[in-house]
Amino acid sequence: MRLDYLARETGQNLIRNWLLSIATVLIVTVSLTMFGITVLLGFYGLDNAFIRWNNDVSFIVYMNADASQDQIDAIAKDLDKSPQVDTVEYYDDDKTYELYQRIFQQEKPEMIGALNKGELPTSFRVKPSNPDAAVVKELANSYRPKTGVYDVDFPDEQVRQVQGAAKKIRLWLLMGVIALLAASVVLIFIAIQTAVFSRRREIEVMRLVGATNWFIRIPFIVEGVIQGIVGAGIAITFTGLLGLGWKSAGSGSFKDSLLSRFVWTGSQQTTAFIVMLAIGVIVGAVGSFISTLWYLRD
Amino acid sequence: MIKLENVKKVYKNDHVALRNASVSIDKGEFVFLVGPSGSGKSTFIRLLNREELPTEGKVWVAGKDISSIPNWRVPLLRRNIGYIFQDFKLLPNKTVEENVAFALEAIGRPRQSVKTQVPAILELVGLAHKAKNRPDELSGGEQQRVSIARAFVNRPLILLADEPTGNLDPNTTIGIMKLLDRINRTGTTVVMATHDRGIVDVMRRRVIELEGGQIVRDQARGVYE
Repeated sequence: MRLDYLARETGQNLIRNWLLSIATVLIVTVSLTMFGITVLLGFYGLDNAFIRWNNDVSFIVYMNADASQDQIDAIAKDLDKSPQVDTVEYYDDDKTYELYQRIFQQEKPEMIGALNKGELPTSFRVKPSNPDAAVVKELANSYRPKTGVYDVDFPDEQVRQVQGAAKKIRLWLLMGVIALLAASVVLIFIAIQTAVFSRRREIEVMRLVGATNWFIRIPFIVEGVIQGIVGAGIAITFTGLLGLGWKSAGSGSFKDSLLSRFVWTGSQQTTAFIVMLAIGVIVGAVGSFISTLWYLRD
Repeated sequence: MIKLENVKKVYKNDHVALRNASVSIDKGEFVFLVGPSGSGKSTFIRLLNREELPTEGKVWVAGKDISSIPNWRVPLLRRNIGYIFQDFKLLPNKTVEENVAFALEAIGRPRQSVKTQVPAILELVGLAHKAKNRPDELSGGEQQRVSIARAFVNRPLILLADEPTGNLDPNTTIGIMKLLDRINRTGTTVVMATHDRGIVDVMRRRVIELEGGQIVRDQARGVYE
């Protein structure tokens, strides 16, 4: 096939069917923008938010108020050498009393004088290296029977709930993305098929003068691919701009909210954009190919 | 050039369009297919172009049994067959020369060949001065001339015409028939389905009459009857 013929036919078809071309590009744009936002925010953002939240998962080992220095040192040494512990911070009498004052200052100021420094149990704030709820719980429980330990506080129920919710959200998002992509493919397919239908007479003439099916099909496929690329390009631009807006809001207006944790890295964004472009190209090409099948049956 | 051997064509709705049709057409013949509507004329023509496959029997075109050739070779077969339609089937958004060039481009002819062949064929059909016009700017007769130019630009061995004068007035019809006759004199086999008694009777060429899907008459230098 001559390249000038291909370029001319494709260009003429795109211009001649400009309304359908715009409709197809818009469908690709809207579908892929929604896909891109879902991937960035729902997958990468959610993942990163949970990674950050998981990183905050910790447990507290409370020592008896009358625990000896040796008992405290033994626990400290044990935590320090444990490979399952990432960081550990010891709340001594001063730090514990300071925390007690800070909490009760806001909630029950009349209680501040009820206890004195040294009457509160000191504690170890432990951040495990593996944030998995079951692993942390097991690690936390291993300190309960140790001498001098008063109690171990681990929010296992909350961790389990949040991690369970994360799994469910990911599953729902995955199903949503699949449904969205399926809907996009169908919409794009319908748009391209309408374009092909509007040129059925041309196809009929081409067949009767002896054009091969691939000769007829290639300009349609190139047209579909161009529409897919343009649609994906606009979608990538929109998604990029929305991402910039989101990130700037994350460091501004909702800096302290949970939403600010829904962020993604540059490489994750690049991956999402490459996938969007690939989907645009594939959907355009496959949609055109399938659309022409009906008219090119022998 | 063309041979049908005991051809039967039954459509999906069990309608028998052609039955026990056996006929042979030599190179350079001009053949009229006549008969009432639904007699099988269009089916006959569509079988020659492999638009339809016979239910039974064999169809030979240019020495090949076209009912058994693989689908991928059908385009190559069609490059040897020009097709003229009653409704012209011109592409409305292309000019006259683009419509004709389209037939050459669609089979991958080089640009230089397109550039020389298109003006030559437009000259032959008397439409060189309308090369830049679009079909809707032409009369019915002129549109059919473009259709003939497109069918003949590739110099096919066979020209199939399905009621090519069906939409034309008598004067225009004469012009189209003169053109087809001229093409036939170049050695191209012409098979034309028609209802036009006048042209059949005037031209006195071979007539194959179909009725209810059967060949009821095959007469050299025949009339419509």
